[in-house]
Amino acid sequence: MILHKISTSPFTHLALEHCLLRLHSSDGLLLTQDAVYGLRHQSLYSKLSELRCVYVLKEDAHARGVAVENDKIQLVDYAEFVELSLEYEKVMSW
Amino acid sequence: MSQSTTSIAIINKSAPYGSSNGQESLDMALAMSNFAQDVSVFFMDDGVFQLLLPQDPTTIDAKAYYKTFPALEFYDIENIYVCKQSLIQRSIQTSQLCIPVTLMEFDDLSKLLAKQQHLMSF
Amino acid sequence: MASFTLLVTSAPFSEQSAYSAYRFALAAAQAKHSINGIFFYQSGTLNGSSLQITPSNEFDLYSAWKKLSQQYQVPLMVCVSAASKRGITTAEDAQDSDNPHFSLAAPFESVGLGELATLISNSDRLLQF
Repeated sequence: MILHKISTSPFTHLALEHCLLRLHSSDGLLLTQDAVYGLRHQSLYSKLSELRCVYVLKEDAHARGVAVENDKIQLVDYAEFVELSLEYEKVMSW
Repeated sequence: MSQSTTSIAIINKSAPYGSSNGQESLDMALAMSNFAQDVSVFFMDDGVFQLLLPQDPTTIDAKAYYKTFPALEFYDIENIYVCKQSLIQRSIQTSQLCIPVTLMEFDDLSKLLAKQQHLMSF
Repeated sequence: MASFTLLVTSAPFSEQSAYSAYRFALAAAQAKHSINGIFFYQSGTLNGSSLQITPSNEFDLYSAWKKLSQQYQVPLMVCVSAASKRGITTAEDAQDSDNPHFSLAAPFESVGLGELATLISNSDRLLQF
């Protein structure tokens, strides 16, 4: 039950890819900062869509004009991010 | 504030020398262990390069902090995990590493981290 | 209510992470959680520089940290060894090294890594930014 927090763009950095390799089915994935561009990544997007718990930080997505057009991906604001960090047992920052 | 023992995983994802991550991660691991925390150290992705021999950072005036890794056990840091696939991808044999390690598969990470209370990554 | 320690390892302005940490801390404090401390390590120690000058039409993270600390009694702890390598020093350090300059001032405190161990031991969650 780990919340994996990614903050770099998958087009430049491998953090998201490396995280996906090791993600457990009970883990959650939170895209923040430039990682929200992951929603525009063709091959990774299909992988993200298959996951159970993917969250995108609303403020960071809105700032970058990245829209979430997938019911399975949840937009969370900072207040929800705080609660999410408590729902999971720990948070790993990639 | 009182202080009780907490288990902390310190995860190394960065190669040495190009950034201060490796050296400052080691400082962190030693300090946490010194202050009675139960520390486990993980190496994965480019982090495995920190353990690879030979190294001679004197050519770039960097600190040879890899020489401290064999002393980790004297700091009561006995759990050292290395990602097997990260080694394979980089054509590294375990015999080329500066310390004995426990290998882990990709999907072992979550299980091993589940036993730790807190995580830091560098 | 839960307790948090935040570990900030990123420089201000160059990257977004330190700002993200501030927003997280603010949201947690507003939700009545307690922030045991914000610990600045690696380039994160640069957040403690009192010499930062932010243009008036840009977000002043340094002032925001100070305000957060005062409003919610959040300790702002800067790792002394990581900071001194980056030119973040206290008046006391300056005196010791015969250097007229210093850049770290209250409410930021210069501390050792042992303080982080104590913070973590007493926190439900550790988040790194």
